[in-house]
Amino acid sequence: MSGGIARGRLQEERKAWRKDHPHGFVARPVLDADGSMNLMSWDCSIPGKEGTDWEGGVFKVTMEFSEDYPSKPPKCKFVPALFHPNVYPSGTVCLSILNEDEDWRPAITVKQMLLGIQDLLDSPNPESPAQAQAYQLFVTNREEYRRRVRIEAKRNTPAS
Amino acid sequence: MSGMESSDGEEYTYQDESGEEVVGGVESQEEEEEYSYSDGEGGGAPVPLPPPSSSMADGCKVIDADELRATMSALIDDISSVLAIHPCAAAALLRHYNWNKESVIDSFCTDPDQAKEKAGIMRFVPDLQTSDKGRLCGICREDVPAEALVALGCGHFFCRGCFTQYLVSKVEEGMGCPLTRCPEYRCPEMVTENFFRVLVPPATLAAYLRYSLKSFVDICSAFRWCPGRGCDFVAMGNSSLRACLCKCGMLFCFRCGEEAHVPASCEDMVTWVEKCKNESETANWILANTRKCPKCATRIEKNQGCNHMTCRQCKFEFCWICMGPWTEHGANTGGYYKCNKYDPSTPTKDEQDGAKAKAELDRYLHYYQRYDNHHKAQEYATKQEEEIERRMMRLQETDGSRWIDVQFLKVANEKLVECRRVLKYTYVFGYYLPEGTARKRLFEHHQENLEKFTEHLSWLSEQSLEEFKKEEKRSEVVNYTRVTETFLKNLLKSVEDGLMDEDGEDMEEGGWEGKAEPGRRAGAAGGGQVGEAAEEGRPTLPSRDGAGGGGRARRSGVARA
Repeated sequence: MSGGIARGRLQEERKAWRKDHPHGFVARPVLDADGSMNLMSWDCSIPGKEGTDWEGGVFKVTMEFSEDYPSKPPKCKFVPALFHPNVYPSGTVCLSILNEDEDWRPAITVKQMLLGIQDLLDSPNPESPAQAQAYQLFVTNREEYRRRVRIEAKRNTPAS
Repeated sequence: MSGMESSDGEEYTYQDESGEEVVGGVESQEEEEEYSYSDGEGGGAPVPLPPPSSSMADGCKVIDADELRATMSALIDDISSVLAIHPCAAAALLRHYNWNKESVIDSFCTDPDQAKEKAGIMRFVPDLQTSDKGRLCGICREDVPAEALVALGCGHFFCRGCFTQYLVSKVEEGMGCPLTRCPEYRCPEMVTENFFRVLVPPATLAAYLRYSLKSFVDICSAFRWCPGRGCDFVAMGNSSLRACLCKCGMLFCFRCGEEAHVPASCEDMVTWVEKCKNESETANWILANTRKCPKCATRIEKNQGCNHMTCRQCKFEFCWICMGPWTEHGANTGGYYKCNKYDPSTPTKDEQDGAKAKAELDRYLHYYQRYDNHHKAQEYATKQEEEIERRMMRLQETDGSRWIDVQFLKVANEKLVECRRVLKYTYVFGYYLPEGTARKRLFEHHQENLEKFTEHLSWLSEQSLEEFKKEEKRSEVVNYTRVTETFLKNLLKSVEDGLMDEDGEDMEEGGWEGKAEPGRRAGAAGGGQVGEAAEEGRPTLPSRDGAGGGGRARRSGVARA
């Protein structure tokens, strides 16, 4: 049944999201060239939390689900890659709840994942650095790090 | 030609002169049997052989998967009854506290709720919970009727199919499956064995139980998997065990899981292996597989274990280690087999350049060459096992010997394998032993003794079957097997005792000078007791407390008087 439930579950995720989702967040399956909805691939947006250096920025994230979902987590990626200690140069997010060997559980919802990633923005985990640049600044020069974060937020501020 | 051949046919016994005293040690009683050897006058059946050496594996118990499972269950049951909790909850606690019984009990008695929380059994129930109404399954997100819903003690309901699939995928992921938690986001409740039992198919359950057992062994310091290829046995012991003999024949170090490497320490081995890796190219370049005969320069490949070489071309006999003539390997040069000592006082041309690095490389190569040499000889002797079986068969067929009569060949070869292995690691140990100390001198003395007896035994056991039809030849092998074992024990014991004499003093130079000379007992009368075989008044035979011989024994004798 493993292959079987991915689409059904994602359909339900989509319904639940449309019914209710946190303010400022976006999550929707991409549209294929023929205009049909591809449930296995989602485009999302995560706003920086108010009162943090990330405020004002809206960050694009893609979620790629496999047929093993929800046994296995989706691959979540910032597009473009983000200046953040726990984001790989490829943009992939390193977060325990998104790691099947760590805290991934099949009952985690899309909403919980996106909120988890939002939390990560201003609470980086120095135990699992994923890129050298942001990590080095975070541990050696916090002021410069924060300046860079504010630049990153500004760069990702929607035009309107 | 040295005494090698002149010794043929002679018999040696290893009783000290009077058959008394010599050592004031505690082991004297049991050791007596092994030392005093006299071949019956008539040269009848060989005396009973000593059992295969298990001395190094003492304290190590080897068990199979069933026994292991029983041990694990006993531990779980123990905690279960002490803390009055379900065995599955007890197992979760043990897993969380790395199978340390004391810390489970301590933590549980200090703060039971915290211990349960950490172990994921805060709301443990032995059976799956059922729902009183239909709900949304947290995994497939579909509305599911009450009868199809199940939950752990935490009450997070999922449909049976989804829950089962979740557990199956966890087992497929492997090792981590015994630590599976509830599928709900951030729920700490552990999925204990009882739930796997009811939910997953038998094959998955079997895999789960295997992983559970495997992680038990991996985590418990009291167990170690045998590193032998395809071997499923487990050794029980503790990290002070340096050598553990598995039922599959593998002898391994309990602490680091590598081949047993006494007398070298695990730390020495790590540094040594690393060094060998770094130096390997240089070493390989220098240590070619073939060497030229020192006399006629014919290329010679060493294809047997013994270091006593005879050039086929010119019949020149020489030592493979130092390439010097074999005739010089005698008492007149201070030792029958004097190739284990690195002597910085005889500098090579290169060393005269004064390059310290070069000297260090030479020092390393000295040890590496001997290490490698024994390693290859060990491999060779190991490979010989089949050939030995064949030779034993042939010997039985040709002269009507009984099975028991030809066992000596096998026993000798087993001893050779063991000695080669230990000798190999003595060069790691020796490499890290500071130069110029009394400890090192004592160690090298033991090493030298073991080495020369091993070489001689190796040479003896490679002789033609024709030779072994002679009773005295067989006795000689039996005899040398025992004596070699004694030297092996002495070396290991001495290292264990910190290479000090028994008064705790460093030995005086010459205090342990008694040299045992294999095959050099020129004065020994055939069949006689060779107690008097001392040359120039020195004890020539191993005394019972070790190759360390005379000085030490005498001292303890005085102490007791």
